[in-house]
Amino acid sequence: MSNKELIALYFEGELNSEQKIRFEELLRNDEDFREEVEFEQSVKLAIISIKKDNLRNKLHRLETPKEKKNYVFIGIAASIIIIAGVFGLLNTSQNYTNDELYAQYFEPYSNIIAPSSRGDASKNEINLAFRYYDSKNYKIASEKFESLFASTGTSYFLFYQAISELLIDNTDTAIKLLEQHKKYNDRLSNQTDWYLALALLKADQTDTAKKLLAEIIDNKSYNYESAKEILEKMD
Amino acid sequence: MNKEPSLDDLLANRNQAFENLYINLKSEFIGFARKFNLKEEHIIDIYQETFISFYENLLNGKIKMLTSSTKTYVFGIGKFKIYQFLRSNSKLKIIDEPVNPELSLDELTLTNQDLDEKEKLVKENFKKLSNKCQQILEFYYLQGKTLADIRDDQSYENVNVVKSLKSRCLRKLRNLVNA
Repeated sequence: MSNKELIALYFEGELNSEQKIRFEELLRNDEDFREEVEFEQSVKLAIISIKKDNLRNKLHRLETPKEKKNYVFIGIAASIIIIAGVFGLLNTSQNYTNDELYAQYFEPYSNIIAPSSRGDASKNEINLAFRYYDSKNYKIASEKFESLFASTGTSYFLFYQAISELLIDNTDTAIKLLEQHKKYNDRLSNQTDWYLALALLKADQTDTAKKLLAEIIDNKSYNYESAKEILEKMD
Repeated sequence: MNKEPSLDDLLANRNQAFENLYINLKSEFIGFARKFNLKEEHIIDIYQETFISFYENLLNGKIKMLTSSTKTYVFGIGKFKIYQFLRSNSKLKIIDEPVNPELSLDELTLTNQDLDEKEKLVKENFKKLSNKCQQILEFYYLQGKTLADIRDDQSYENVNVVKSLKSRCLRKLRNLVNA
C-alpha cells in the first residue's frame, strides 16, 4: 500500500490496527509524509472554519432587528453607498476579485419546493430532481429541471436549473437561464436578481453586475444587505 | 410540533435545518440561561456559539450519530458554554453538571480555536478553487465519505476519476498556498 493510500484511509477513518501502527511510524520518521498529513489536516480545518463562518453569518442575520420602515433614510444611505462606491470614495483596505466575492456570497438556494421526505422521494420527477439537488448532484439535477420545465412550463424550474448550472461552473448557461426566469413571475422571482448579479460577477461582467446590485438595493429585494456589502467591497 | 432534523439534514443544513432549530429552541434556551443570572445579550452570544460548536462537531465527525435528541445536544453544549462564560467572568468557583448524564461531551471540541497562519492561508485559497473542487474536497474531508461513496453520490464514472479529481484539486490548493 502506498503512503498516499494510507493517508486516504486515515482521513476516511478506515485504518486497521496494523495500518495505524505504520501510519504513526511514518508520521514520526518521514518528513514528507508528515507534511502531507499536516497539509490535508489544515484543509479539513479550513473547510470547517468556512462552514462555521457561514453558519455564524446566518445566525447573526437572524438576530439583526428588522429595519424600521424609514425608507427615506435607507434610500439616502443606499444612494450614498452607491455613489461612493461608483466614485471609489470608499477606501476599503482590501481588494477583492470578482471570484472571491462570488465565493464569499454565493450559496445554493434552498429547496423550498419539494422538501425531502424519505418515504415517497422517488415517486415523481419533481421529488427526484430536488433529491439530486439536495444531495448536491447538480449535473443530473440540472438535466431533470430542464426537462421538468419543458414538460410543465413551471417557471421556478428554470431558477433551480440555473443555480445547479452555477454550481457546476457553467456560468454562461446560468446567466441565460436566470435572464429567462426574470420574464416570469413566481415565488422565486424576488431571488433571481441576486443570483444573476452573482453569476455576472463570476463571469467578470463587472459593470452589469454592479448595475444589478444597485437595483437590488433600490428595490430592497432579496439579500439587498449583502448586495450593499459587495458594492462596498468592489471599489 | 416540530420535527427533529436528522443528522443528514443538519450536515447539509438542508431546508435551513439549523436556522429552524435555532428559532424553535431559542425562547426555551433563554429561559434556561436566565437562571444563571445572565444578561440577554450574553445569552444570545452563548446561544449562537452553542450552535456553531454543535455544527463543528458534526463536521469534524466527532458526533457521528445523534444518540439523544438535538435539543439535548443544544442544551448540553449550551450549558457547557454558560459555565465557560461564568468561569471567565466571575471569581466564583463553579462546578459543572451535565444536563443529561447520558450525554457525554468529553470527546467534543467545544472551545473555539483560532486557525494558525498556515491554516488561514489554506482557508483563503480554498475559496479560490472552482465549485467542483470545493465540493469534492468538502465531501471528502467533512462528510467522512470514501471516494467510492462520492462516485456513487455524484455519479462519477469510477473511483479513479474521483481520485484524480481530488488529487488535482488538492495539488491546485497547495500551489495556491505556496504561491
